[in-house]
Amino acid sequence: MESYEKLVKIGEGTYGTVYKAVNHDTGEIVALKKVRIDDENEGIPSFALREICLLKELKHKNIVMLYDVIHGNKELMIVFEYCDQDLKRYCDACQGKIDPSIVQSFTNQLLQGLAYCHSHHILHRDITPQNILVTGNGDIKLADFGLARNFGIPVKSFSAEVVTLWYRSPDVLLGATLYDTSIDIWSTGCIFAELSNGGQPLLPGKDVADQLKIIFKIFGTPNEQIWPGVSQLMKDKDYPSYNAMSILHVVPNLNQLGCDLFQLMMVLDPSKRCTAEQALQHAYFKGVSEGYT
Amino acid sequence: MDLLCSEGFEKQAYKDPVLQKERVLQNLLKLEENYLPNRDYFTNVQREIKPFMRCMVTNWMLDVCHGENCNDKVFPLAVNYLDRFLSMVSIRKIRLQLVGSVCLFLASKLKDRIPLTAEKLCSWTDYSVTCQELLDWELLLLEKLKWDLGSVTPLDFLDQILYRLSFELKDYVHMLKKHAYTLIALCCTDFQLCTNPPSMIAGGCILCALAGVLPQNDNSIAIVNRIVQKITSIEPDYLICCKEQVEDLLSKTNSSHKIDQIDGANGYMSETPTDLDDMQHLVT
Repeated sequence: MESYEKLVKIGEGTYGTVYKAVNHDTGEIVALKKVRIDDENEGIPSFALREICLLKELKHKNIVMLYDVIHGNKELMIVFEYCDQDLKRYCDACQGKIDPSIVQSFTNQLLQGLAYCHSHHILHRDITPQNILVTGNGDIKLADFGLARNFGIPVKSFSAEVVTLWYRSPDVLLGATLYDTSIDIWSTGCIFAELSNGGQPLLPGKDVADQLKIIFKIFGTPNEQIWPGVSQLMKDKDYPSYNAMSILHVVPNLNQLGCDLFQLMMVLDPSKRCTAEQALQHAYFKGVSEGYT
Repeated sequence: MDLLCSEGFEKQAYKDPVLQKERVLQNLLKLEENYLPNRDYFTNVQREIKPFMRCMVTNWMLDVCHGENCNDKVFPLAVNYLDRFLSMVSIRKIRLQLVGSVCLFLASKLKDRIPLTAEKLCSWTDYSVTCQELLDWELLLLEKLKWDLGSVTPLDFLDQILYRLSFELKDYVHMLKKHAYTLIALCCTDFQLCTNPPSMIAGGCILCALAGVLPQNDNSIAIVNRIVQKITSIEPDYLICCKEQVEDLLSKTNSSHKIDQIDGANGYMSETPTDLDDMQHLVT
């Protein structure tokens, strides 16, 4: 513990506070996530254990690296590689303009990180701009696996206090109780659009009902034909019937191929949504550059 | 490990083609090597701990998992932590149940919706383990296991293999899964079997379970045999050998249960006690 010195607080994760810190032995700058051990009677909190355990397994250039775990008095310090900022702050600093080559590169890197997680049987479940880190070289790193899982924990245990609705897929919003890798693709599609629109969130709903309304307004209200089984999910409530908007109005800055990929990622029926690997094969990514060039 | 999020406990498995794809299986096969215990730890590391004690403590752990209705994955995972820890740290026999409790504590935190509490675990030891010991040793285990708790267990392969067999064995898959799971849990209590790679144990258990489920002389046994070999890339001889080991263990267990029943009448001690009471005599 003594070899790290906290420099400045850089944010709040799903649980615990994150600091920028320096390792005095090596001079290396790291991110320290401090997790309070509230219930001393139960030892290490299960969510912290889960995140550590997942990140131990995931070693990929687009996933934040876990260096070390230090147990201190009533707290746990998780040492991560340091990244300059998160995607939200990055977008804010762009003031409404993000270069198409950056949009392409960031989306590509996000999908690479996801494809890797998915091939290791891990869902992230909470992909938001706050949980995506950007390094000074323009490398994208998935972070905050506090809600990620490959374990049998039900949706409801997290949905109430989840950070934001804006990236949640319609199937989860409608209360589907079984879900899979497709929920991460939906979130990534939202971020793809957000980047192309200069950092403007695509679906900023106020609550679950409003979120669904916004989604249906853009992508059309689903029915049994396009999404078999959806009427069961929608039976408890009346939803206005909308026709899908023209995609050109939704993501006006994307080229033809970008629009096509976006639509494949935003299919309402989760079983028809493309996978991360399929998305990576899409012609939109032809000639993509890694990081800044 | 699987990726399914399910609200209920009894939900049918939902098949996600991405997850069942080749890469997931290949990753599991690559990873399984990293979590194998040292097969000589009884001779090279431990002085007081003997294989029969491991058998007792794992049977006790299985009782706890059944009694507390833990997720199926908790028990094999906890046993893997136990073996990995015992591969590195020599302990006194009075600590064995404590270590077993800590392994359950950790595995349950990872896999159970509502993890086992420290208090509950201590009560299962009849308070021979205290909550404070449990918490102290939790840190020791985490440190020794380098916080790496994502062990690959035979159960990870069970789903992968059964998914690939679902076409051949449509009607039997559900029953096969139940049988194979029971056999895998049984294998975890046997050290000899546990030193095999998890993929081989899963393959052996499925073949053994199949023999019990399918009508005799059904030619699908041969087909399944070939498929399992292909999936796990295990030499046919090894796989058959593993299957026979499982069968031996099964018949030994069945006969010892019979002896136990007779014992009850005669007051005669069987050689491998599986009772918590018996175990506590030996451990304390």
